[in-house]
Amino acid sequence: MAIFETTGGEVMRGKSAGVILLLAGWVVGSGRVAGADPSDPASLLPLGALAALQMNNLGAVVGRLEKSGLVEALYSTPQGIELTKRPDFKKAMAGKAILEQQAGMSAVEILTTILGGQVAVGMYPQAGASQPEFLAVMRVRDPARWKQLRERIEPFLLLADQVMNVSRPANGVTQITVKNVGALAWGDAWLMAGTKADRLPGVWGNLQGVDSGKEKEKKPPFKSLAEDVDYQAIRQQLGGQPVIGFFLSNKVLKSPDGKRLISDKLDNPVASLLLGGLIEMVGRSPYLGGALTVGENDFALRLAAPGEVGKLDAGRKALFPAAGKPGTPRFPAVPGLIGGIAWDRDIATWYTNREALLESRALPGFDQFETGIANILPGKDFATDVLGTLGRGMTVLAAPQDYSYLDGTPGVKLPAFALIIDLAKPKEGASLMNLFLQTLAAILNIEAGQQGRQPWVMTSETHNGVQISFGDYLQKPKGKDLPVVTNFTPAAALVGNRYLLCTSRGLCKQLIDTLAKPSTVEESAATPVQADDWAVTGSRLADALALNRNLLEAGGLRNGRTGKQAREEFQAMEDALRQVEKLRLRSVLQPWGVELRLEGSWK
Amino acid sequence: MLDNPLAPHAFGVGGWSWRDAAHLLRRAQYGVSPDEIERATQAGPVATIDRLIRPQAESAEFTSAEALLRQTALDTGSTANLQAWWLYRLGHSANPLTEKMTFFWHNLFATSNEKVKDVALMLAQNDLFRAQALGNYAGLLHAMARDPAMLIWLDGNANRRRHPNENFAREVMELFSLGVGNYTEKDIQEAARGFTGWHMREGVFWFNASQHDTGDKTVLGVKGNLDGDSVIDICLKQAACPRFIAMRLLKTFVMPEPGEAALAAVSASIRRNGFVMGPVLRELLTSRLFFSGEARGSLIKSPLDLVLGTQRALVPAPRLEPTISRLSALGQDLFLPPTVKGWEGGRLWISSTTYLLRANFAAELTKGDLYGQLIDLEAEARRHQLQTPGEATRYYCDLLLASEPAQAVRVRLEAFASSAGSQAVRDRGLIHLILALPEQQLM
Repeated sequence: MAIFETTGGEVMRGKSAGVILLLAGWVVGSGRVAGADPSDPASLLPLGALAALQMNNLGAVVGRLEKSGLVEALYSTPQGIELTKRPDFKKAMAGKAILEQQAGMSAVEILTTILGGQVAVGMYPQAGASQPEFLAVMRVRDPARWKQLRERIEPFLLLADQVMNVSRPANGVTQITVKNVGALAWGDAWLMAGTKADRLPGVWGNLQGVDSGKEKEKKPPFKSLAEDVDYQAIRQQLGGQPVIGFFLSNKVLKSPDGKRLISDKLDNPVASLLLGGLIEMVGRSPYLGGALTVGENDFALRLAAPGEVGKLDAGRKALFPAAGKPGTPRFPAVPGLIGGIAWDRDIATWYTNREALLESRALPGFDQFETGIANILPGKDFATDVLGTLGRGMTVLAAPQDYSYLDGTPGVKLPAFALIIDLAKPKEGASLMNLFLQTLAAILNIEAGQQGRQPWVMTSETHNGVQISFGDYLQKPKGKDLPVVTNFTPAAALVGNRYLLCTSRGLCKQLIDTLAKPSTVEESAATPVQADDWAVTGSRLADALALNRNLLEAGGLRNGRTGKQAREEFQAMEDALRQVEKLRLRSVLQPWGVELRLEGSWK
Repeated sequence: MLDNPLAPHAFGVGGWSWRDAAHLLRRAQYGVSPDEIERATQAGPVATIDRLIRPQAESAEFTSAEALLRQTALDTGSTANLQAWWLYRLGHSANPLTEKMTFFWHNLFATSNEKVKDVALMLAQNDLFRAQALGNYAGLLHAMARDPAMLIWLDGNANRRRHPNENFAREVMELFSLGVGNYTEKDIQEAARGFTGWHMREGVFWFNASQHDTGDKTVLGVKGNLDGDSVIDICLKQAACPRFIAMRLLKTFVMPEPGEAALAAVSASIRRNGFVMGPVLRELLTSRLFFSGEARGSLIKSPLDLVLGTQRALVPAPRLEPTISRLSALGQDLFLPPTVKGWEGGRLWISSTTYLLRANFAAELTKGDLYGQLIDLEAEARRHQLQTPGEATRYYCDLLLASEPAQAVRVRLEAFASSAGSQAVRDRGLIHLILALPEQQLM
């Protein structure tokens, strides 16, 4: 099995049992009327939200993270160290200490007690004002401990009666109003805050009724966000009961006169090729949603943009897998695979539709590019002769380097890289790629001669029945600080319809062996259809960086660190990376639209 | 005019002062920190100059960081990383005068990696400059004739018996030892024959006997089967040679336009000391000439003096990459001198463009942390008891300026300091204004 393959396609690994249970819980529950479902945090918020954020059982996650080594490792990274030096961070820590002292319990305990239940934050339009209104509602997990906490805090409110108005508008409800700021209210099992005080009574009225089962019938009908059609749709689409979920109406992404804030044309060709399809889907979606689920040792963050890919224009449709096609190629399981990127794109169609996709100021760059490429591929039209030979799949991957062709090592030790291109016309495509490789090698050899380095001699060999064209040195370069360029001995081969262009002959041979095994490239029925797939294994990336420890520590010195600080910062970064087992980001086609999925697991 | 410019300076009634110490250190190293001035003031002139000239042990922190940056330059083959390595040395070494003299030789034997394209060879050349920084110029001149980076730079391998290449021979006389007007074209042609066959092979000097011209040559009146070493020895014997080096030393350390008496005195010192620079510099840096009013504040700061010097006073842990960029913008890329003449410096450092860039440097240094965090101004104020605007103005003017600003300028600085907000904001703004003064361009 390839190292980045997933067993079931929807969640990452067996360790995700917690996430699966949570998902199952919400999927089962999704058949009930949302507005009456007290397990749905959206039932806490009134209908009409432009955006909403909800959290479930966050306290347990915070507690788990606190106990794992990850938080400590993150605090030890350069960014973590910088953060802890910031005055704001110090103030926050001081505030935390005061709160803990006051409450007589740790912040984690407070989180477990208060936020450990359910939290919902809604953003609402405010009539006659450009600024939206916010409302946050929390359902307490442990009412008994919540009571204890209130008893400790409430006496101190008297000290602040000059700036706020404390009232008890109903049995068991305390409300604090701060002029021009908003209001805070709490009851036996809930806590809420809003920028407009007059919205609160309706909400706590509903909560008191729901929670006690007594006053519900006396209140006017409370319409909750859970009854919103779009909200219900996104909940169906993402499923589960996430630790954090959000919902965003597309009204937020429009100007007051209803125009899209997301431009329909980009000014960066690379961004257009990589993200143009997703951005357009976001711009067109009636609403967006997201869900974060956290298991014992993994997490999944899913962002959903509902819509029909089939309705996109040709240029953008080309950025998603064609109907009935499997999507991105799987990563070949070469030994020690560090990470990779795989795409599924119809680049030729995107390229020929570029005028419809890009701002006019980005277009002259294409002419310059074509002029430049004509020097390497003389007599060829790039759009027709080059892109026309390509298939849809493309993979870039990194693996450990093999320095057997050197008598020593380069000063900068790069991993070996491979570009795997699926060819629609393998024969023509491979000839073209070989021409490209030979011309490029000739150009680089001139530079090598100018700098007194050995040139590559282009030669070939057969491995496992596949011919490899590669560049090699006549004599093994010798030394311990060899130039960066000695990381590269370019090698190319055609395996079926897949053209391999590698920076190392060793990796090329491994890929030939791997691709020859059907099991490593077979599509799984459960594998989702992906347009993009980015994956990295933390410990292997850490190994690759550790080979260049000196260079990275020197980077710290150049940035004004002492030697000791630079060493510590590198070590912290390495430790943090080793805690991360895998990270994966992919865009997945769903029957209802497109989903962007970030998944990770740690040790 | 001083009758013996190199006579030891007699410090006046007040004796060796804070200002004297600051003047010496500003010239002998790239900038000066308040602690260094304090230490030198306490130690006195003899101990201070002794510390500058005698090799000092480097700290373990410096040794390890320097080794890491050196290895990185070698590993990456990047000129920027090589520059970072040397900048670290210039800013942190316990032997700042050695580093300044290393730059002196880099500027004299100006070799650019633009053509050499080999970081290891440039680094080896720099090490050679450092090893001989306060040592023997004559030995260094001989070593340069065999230095691989120099052989690439001045086309040593193209200097062949039947087709002598005059590049190195010309620069030996014009730029490395005698100066224009002290040789003829015929001397260069003959000297070039002496260096034929002085080649580089596999990264090291190689005497290619088959390409060496063994015939008689006449150089500066001396006839014989002269080789490269003989040519150099003939140059060293010329009266113009110590005068040439003396002029460079005076323009670097003392004043932009030294008079004949100063030139003759330093030239005599060089000859008397057999071209060994340590004793010459000891004499020069303790002389009446060096501490004269004419010398103080007379040199236009090079970008290195301006940027590293200001950082040394105000930024304890400078960031090297933006520093390299700023030096480049101001026209001083280490290891990449603009021509074989090196950086001519002086008034050429200041143009309408570079003056603006110098002012921008002052703004960037004081407004953000691009070059690293500024010293803790509140702690500095407590330490030096800078309670009033007047005290703060005086302290930072003394620290950053080589000469007293005009009274009108000081009044305006104090007026600013009085109207500024908190002490830290006040001092930051005050430092910015002082760094933007024309006086800040001088040392």
